[in-house]
Order: sequence, then structure tokens, then C-alpha cells
Amino acid sequence: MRVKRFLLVALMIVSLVIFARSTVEIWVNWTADEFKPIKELVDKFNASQDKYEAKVLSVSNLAAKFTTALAAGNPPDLIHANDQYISPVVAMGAFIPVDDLGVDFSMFKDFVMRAVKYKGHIYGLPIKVNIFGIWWIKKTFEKAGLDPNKGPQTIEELVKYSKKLTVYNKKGELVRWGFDPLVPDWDWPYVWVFHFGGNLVDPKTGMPTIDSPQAIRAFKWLKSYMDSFGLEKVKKFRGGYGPYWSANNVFLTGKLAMFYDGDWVTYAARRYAPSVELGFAPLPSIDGKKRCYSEVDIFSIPVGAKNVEGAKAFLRFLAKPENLIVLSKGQISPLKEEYTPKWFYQKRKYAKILESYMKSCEIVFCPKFPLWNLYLDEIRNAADEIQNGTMSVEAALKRAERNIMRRLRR
Amino acid sequence: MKRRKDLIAGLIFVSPWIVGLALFQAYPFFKSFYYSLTDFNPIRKPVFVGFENYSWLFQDDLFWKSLWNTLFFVIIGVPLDQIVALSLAVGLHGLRREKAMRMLRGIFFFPILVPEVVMALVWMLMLNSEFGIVNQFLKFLGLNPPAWFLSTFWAKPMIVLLRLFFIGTGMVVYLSALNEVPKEVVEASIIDGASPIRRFWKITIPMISPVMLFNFIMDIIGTFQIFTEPFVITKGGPARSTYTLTMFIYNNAFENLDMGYASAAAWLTFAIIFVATIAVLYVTSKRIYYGGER
Repeated sequence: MRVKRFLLVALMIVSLVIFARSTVEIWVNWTADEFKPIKELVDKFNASQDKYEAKVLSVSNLAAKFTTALAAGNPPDLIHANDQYISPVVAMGAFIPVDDLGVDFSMFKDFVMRAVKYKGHIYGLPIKVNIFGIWWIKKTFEKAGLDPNKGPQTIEELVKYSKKLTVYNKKGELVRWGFDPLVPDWDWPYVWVFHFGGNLVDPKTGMPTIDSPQAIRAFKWLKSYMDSFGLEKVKKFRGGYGPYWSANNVFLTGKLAMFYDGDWVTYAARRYAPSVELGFAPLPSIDGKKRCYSEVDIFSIPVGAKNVEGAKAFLRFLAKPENLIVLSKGQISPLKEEYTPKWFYQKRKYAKILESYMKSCEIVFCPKFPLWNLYLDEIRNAADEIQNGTMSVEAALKRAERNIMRRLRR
Repeated sequence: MKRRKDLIAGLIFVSPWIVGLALFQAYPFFKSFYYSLTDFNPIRKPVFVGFENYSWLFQDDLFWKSLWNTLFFVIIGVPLDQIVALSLAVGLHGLRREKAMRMLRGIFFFPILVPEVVMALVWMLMLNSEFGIVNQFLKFLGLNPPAWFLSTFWAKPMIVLLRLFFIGTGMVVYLSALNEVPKEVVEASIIDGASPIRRFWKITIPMISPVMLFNFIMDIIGTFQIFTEPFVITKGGPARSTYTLTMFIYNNAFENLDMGYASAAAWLTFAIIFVATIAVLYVTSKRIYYGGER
């Protein structure tokens, strides 16, 4: 009897060990509504096989916690990141390439694959792509006597539109501003360099070029644009901007008539101002070329992940078009049109127009620069100094260049 | 034998604290000094570089800027905190109605119970240039208030003012010190005809001077480590006018993943706080009254 019992228990333990599912830990920075699609996909993955048990965690301040986890030797198996962070994290040696994932990467749009490649290797599965440009509320354009279906085509036109859309009160204070090129806490100051024909990094040497003549011209234009509305008036007006993800969104409440943003603004519009009709156009470039800045979200496998095989299995599952597309909350599918399910274009009301722009635009990304965070910080600071008039354009950009070069030398 | 037993029992009782101190305070403290002498990111093994990180720090504009900003908070903020805390404590001490004193003490202490992040958000809303209560009031008075946190001139002073919400602990400590001032000395001075102001300067201040020193030093140490308020409200801006030493350390460690450099900055910050504390102790050493001892 005792022997039988012992054998039974032993059998149970052995079967538990053999048939137990290994855990795949996934960290994302999505919360609330944005978290739901990945949770559903994880549940679907768990139900589809019995080898792995995926667990997804919504982690605030993801970058800092990821660093701490790496330092402690306990990173997740998969992490949600952005194409901007590929080069800094790879430079640190913290992502493993996924060229051998067994996914047909040719189904992704070419520019999307360009974003996730670094030094000839693919460092993550693209899951979401966003495109940036100028958005406006069509009714506001109509009321101002502008064509609601046509945005500014040149930099001069952008200024003209902005002046026309700007409204002051009796005291001369801004009530509605046509366009804010550097929205505090929600800005991409470096994109202006692209639209003035420059680059942030020399493609040949990989060295920063923030003090190039094109960058100087871009920031001089920004300064003169701000000054034309009066810096103090602008500052006071900006002080009243509400949080982006709220009903006080500065664009959706109509305080800014034109807004430079990613296509997630359509998602914010669905939540906070469902009745508004939006218009979109690429941010004009000085040379007349159409350029669109883009960012790509990825899932990457960190070095030190305990379940690399499980992570890869999840990525292969996620790479199926019907799964991948669930994560695209914006208007752009990372997949080529023939791989994108038809419902996507029916449900995303701006998808077609954005796709058409993407075909005619030169898509630009953040440079693959190992010290990108520092570089961005330096550019932001230079933009601040320039706007505030505390430094000249040349001096501020020169200092940014010098500081980043100094860190590179280190 | 009994003493030996007592010693063992005592050590067993304090051992959780000793182990905790050794593991979570002492070890990281000394390890961070080693890291400050290395080139280290979380993935690669630290490579010893001697004092190179310190040498780079001295040439780093941003480090000096963050040090200057932090010194501003210390030099302007600490005396202001102490003056307001002491004034409130003196005011409360002088209240004759016990109930009112207790209620006001509770009100002034209340912000200590609220997380700093929440207070920072509330302060941000109060100072919002368009719908904030402060600007609405100033506009009502016919003034033309600025956008406080978008101004390189105003952002720092506004953060200094926010920190006044957290003087509750200092105020309570002052209040208890005021209660300890010997009544007979005060009464004797009244009989001798000393005015209230003279009594305050000549009796109260010397009597509570050790507590003042304690509050002052604790505030200096806390202010040198100011992080939450600028991080939440301005993220160090505009134009890095509120970028502090702790933000410099945090960004280098967790944004730039440069742990060696961040550790060096942390040790320099420690050295600065240490020197500031010693300087305050030295300057005040002959002015603090420790009840008859010199």
C-alpha cells in the first residue's frame, strides 16, 4: 500500500515537472484601455498551446525598471520598446537579435523593417507604427475660411495658416493659437531639422550634426515664429495646456488649431472628442519634399531572459497578421496592405489617407545613435534656451554638439 | 555568565537591524564608491578607470548647473522653511485655546501625510496660468501673473514655495522645544521687565537652539536631495533651470545607463552635503546652548 502511494506521488511530481508550462514574462508600458489588446492576445496564446504560460505585466516607468532588472540579472523575457531605444540598448549589449525568429519579415512594410534593424540585425518584432504630421479639426478650418481638407503645403503657408487661425481676446492674450511647434512635454524638437533638410547624425561618420547649417536654420525659424507671437504671451498660453490624455487635451479642446502629433491623436479623439472630424497633412519641408517622421513599437528579447524559446514562440504567435493587427491602435498597419486584414481599413477611418501619404512621403526615423537619450536631452535643452532667448541659436546648438561629443569621447 | 547571556540575547534582538543595515545600506554604500571608479552599465562587468568619472564630472556643464540649482534651493529654501516653521510654532505656542492650537497644528501638519507627488500635482494645478486659483486671484487684483513653471526666473522660487507645505515635522519639533523652555526663566525675565521680543531673542532662541540646529541640518540634507517636486512639475526645465543633483544622478543611472558616472556624482553629492553639514556645525558650535555645558 505504502509503495503504491509513494509511486503515485512520485508519478504526480514527475508529470508536473514534465508537463508544467514554462513562464514567459512580458513587460509593457500600456495601461487601462491600451493594455486590453495585449492581455487578450496573451490569453489567446496560452489557450493555443500547452508548453508556455505567458504573463503580461503593465509596468510604469518601464525604461528605468528594465535597467534595474537588467542590473539585477532578472529581466523579463520580452519587453515593449520603441525603435529609438534599439541603438542605446544594443550598444549596451542588452537585446538579442531575432533574425532567426522564423517569421516572414517580408510581410512588414519596408520602412518598418528599416526602423528595427541595427548594424544588419533585426532587434525586435515590429508591432505598431505611428506616423507624424499636422492634424487639425476640420470645423475650425471651415470657420476660419480655410479648405478643411487641405493642410499647409509649405513652411510659409504654415505660418500664414497659423496667423489666420490665431484668436486673441480684448487684452491681446492668446485664446486660440494656430500652431505650437514645440508643445511643452509633448514635443519632438529634433524633427524640425529633418524638415529643414538636415540630419541629426552624419550618415558616414555616425557623429552628431546638431549644429549643421540646416539645424541652425530650423531653430532660427522656430525662434522667429515664436517671437512673432510674443514669447510672454506664448508662455502664458502654454501654462494653460491640460494633460494630453484627458478631456483638457489642448488640441481637442480647440485651443491649438493645428497640432503636430502621431496618429494616436485619432485614438485620443475617439475617447475625448468623438464628434470631431480631423484633417491630416505631412509637416511641410523647406525644400518642398514630403517627409513624415515615424516611430515603430517593438517587442524585444533582453539579454539574460530566462525563457528565450518561450519568448520566440510568443513572438511567432504574435507575428500572425490577425494577431499583430490587434495591437495597432493607431491608423497605420505595420504590415503591407496585402497582409493587413480588411477590417482594419474599414474600422480605422484615417487609415487610407495616411497610407496614401506614407507612399508619397520620405519616411524619417530617429537616428540610430548609441547615446540617443542624452542627445535628445541636449536638443530639448537647446530648444528651451533658444525659445527663451537665453542663448543664441548658434551658441545653444554648438553647446549641445560639444556636450554630446564630450560624452561620446568618454 | 549572565552578562554574556544578556549580550547574546541583545545581539540576537538587534541582529535583524544589523543585518538589514549591512545588506541594504552599508554594502550598497561602499559598493557604489567602487562603481564610481569604474565604467559600468548594468550588462557589462565594471571596468576600473580610477578617478576618470570624477575628472569628467568636473568638466560637465550640466553637473555644475545642477549643483547651482540645488544650492539655490538650499540657500533660499532652507532658511525660509525654518523661519516659517518656527513662526508657526511660536504662533501656535502662544495660542491660549488648546482646542484651536490642536486643530491648527493638525492642519499645518496634514500635508506631511500627503505623498509629495500628489502635493506637486496640486501645486501645479493651483499655479496653472489659465485656470489655477493663484493666477485667477492675481488677475482679480488686476495683476498680470506669469506662467510660473514655464519661466526660467519663476520656476525655482515656486518649487521653494511648494516645499513650505512640508514644514509640518519641523514645526512640531519646534513646538515641543518651545514647551520645554523653563517657565521660571521666562517669568523672571517678565519680572525684570523684558519685552516679548527681547524674551524671544534672549531666552527662547538660545533655549531651543539645539533643536534649531537639528532642524536646520535635517532640512539641508533633505533639500540637497530634492527630486520629486522638480521631476514631477518641470522635469528639470525650462532650460534646465530646475535640474537638480539628484535628477542628474537619476538620469545618468537610469536614462543613460551610466552607473559609474552616476555613482561618482552621488559620491560628490554626499561629499558636498557632508562638508555643508560640518560647516554649519562649526559655524554654530559656539552659539548653541546645551543647558549649561560649553
